[in-house]
Amino acid sequence: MDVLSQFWATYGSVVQFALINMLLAISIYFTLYTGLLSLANAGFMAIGAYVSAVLTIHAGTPFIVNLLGGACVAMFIGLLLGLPVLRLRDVYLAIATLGFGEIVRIIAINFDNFTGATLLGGAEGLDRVPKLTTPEGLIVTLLILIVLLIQLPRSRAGRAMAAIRRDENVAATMGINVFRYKVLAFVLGAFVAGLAGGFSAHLTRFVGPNAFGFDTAVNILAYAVLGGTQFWAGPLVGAALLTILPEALRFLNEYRGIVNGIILMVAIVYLPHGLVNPQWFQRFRRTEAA
Amino acid sequence: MLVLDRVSRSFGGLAAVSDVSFEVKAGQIMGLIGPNGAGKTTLLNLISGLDQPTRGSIHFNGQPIHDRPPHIINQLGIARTYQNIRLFAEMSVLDNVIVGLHTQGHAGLLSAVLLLPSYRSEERRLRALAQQLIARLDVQHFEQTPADALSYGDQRRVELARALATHPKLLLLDEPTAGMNATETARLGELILGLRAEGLSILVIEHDMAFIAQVCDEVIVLNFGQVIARGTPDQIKADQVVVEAYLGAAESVDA
Repeated sequence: MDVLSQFWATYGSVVQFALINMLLAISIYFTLYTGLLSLANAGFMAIGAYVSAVLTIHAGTPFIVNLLGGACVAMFIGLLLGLPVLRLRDVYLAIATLGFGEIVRIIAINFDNFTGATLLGGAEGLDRVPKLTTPEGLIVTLLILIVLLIQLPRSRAGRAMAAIRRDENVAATMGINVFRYKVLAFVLGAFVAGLAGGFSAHLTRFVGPNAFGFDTAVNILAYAVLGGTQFWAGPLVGAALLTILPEALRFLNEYRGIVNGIILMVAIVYLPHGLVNPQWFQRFRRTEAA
Repeated sequence: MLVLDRVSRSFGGLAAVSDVSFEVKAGQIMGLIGPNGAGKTTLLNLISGLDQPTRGSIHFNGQPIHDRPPHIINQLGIARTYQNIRLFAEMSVLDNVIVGLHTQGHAGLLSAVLLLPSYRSEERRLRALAQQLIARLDVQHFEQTPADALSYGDQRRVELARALATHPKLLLLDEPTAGMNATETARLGELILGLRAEGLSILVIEHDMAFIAQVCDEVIVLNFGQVIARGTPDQIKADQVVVEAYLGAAESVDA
C-alpha cells in the first residue's frame, strides 16, 4: 500500500496525462477509421478546455455539466466546420483542418475580455481553474469510450466507416451516404477531443492559447498512428507509450528527444500498421485452433 | 426500366461515350460488348452515378438519375460489380456482404453500444441474410477469410453477392467471368438466368461470347464510344461491322 501511494505521488500526474492523451488518440481514431486525415482535434480540445473552464469559473455549474458543455460546443463547431471541409480529401483536408486549429489559437490570444470582464485571458490564458479532474472520472470516461470502440466494427455505422476508408466510391454504390458518415466521424472526434480539453484544463489548472497548436495536433496524430488505427486498443497503447516514453528516457538528459524520435521512426518503419495489429490475434487464434 | 437518351461523356477533347441511347426492359438481360477502350466501363460509371454525363439523360423507372449521387441511385435499385474487383480488402467475406446490406438495417451507433435487443436481433438478421447470399454464390467455405486472400473467380462471386445484398432491381456486371474457368463461367451463367427468373434485370459487359450467347436476350456493341450494332447474340455474331471492329482491334494489337 505504501509503495502504491509513493508511486502515485511520483507518477500520478503522468498517469493522468496518459489517460487524457488516450482520449485524444481516440478522438482522432474515429476520423482515421473513416479514412479521413483531420488535424482539427487540437482546436476542438482548445474549445472544450476554454468553454469548460469559463463555465467553471463564471457559471459555477457542476464539473460534469461544464465538461459536457465544452464537449458539446466543440461538437457543434465541428459540425459547422465539417460541412464545408469534409468535401476535401487526403492532404487537402489535413491542411484545411490545420488552418482551423490556427484560427482557434489566434482567437484565443486576441479575445481577452468580453464586456469588460476577463473571459479567455488572451495570451496569458486562464490560470484560476480549480483542479476538478480525478483519475476516477478519466477512467470511467475511457471505459465508456472503449465499449464504443469495441462495438464500432460490429455496428452498421462502423462498418460503413470502414468501407469508406477502403474505397469510398464502392461504399457509395452500396447505398452508403458517404458524406453523412464522414460528418458523424468528424463530430464524434470533436466531442471526445472537447472532453479531453475539459479534463486537461481542470488537471493542469491552466488554459493557455499555445497549448493547443501545431505540436499538439501532430502529437495526437502520432498517438493513433503509432498505436494503430484498425483496432480499438491501438490508440490507447500509442498514447500511453508516447506519454511514458519521454519520462522513462529522462536519464538520457539532453539526448532524450533524439532517442524518443529514433524509437518513433523505427516503430513506424517496421510496424507500418501500428503496434496493435489485429492480424496478429488472428494468426494466434489460427495457430491455437490448429 | 433503364432508359439512356443520347448520353455523352467527354474527358477534355476525348469523347469516351457519344450519343448512346438504349433501353433495358424489366426482366431483360442486355449484353454490352466492344473492344477495349470502347467506353463500356465509362457507361457503367455514368449509370451508377460515379460519373456524370456531359450531355444526355438517364432515367430509371421514369426518374432522372443522371444527376443523382451514387448512394441514392443504389437505393433506387441499381447495384454493380467492378471490372478490377473492388472488394473491401482485409475485411472478411461475410463483412463485405454485410456492408452491402447497409440500407436494410436501421440500428444506430448508440443502440450498438448499449447492446439493445433491437440491435442484436438486427445483427442476427443481417448475418443470416449475408450467409444465405454467400451460400448461393458458393463461397460459404470462405465466410471468415479476408476477401483479398481468395482466387479471382471467388472474389468475383463475393462481389456479386455484395451487389445482390443491396437488393437491386437492376444489376450492372462488369466482366463477371474474367478469371473464371469454363465450368465456373457456365455455372455463373445459370445463376444469372436464375436471378432473371426472380425478376431482376441485368446489364452485363463481357468478352466471352459463349457466355453472352448463354444469357443475353439482346446485345449492344460499342466502339469508340458509339453504338455500332444491336441485336440478338446470333445476329451480332454474323454482323460484318462488329467483326471488323474486333478484327481491326486485333490487328493493331499484333502490330
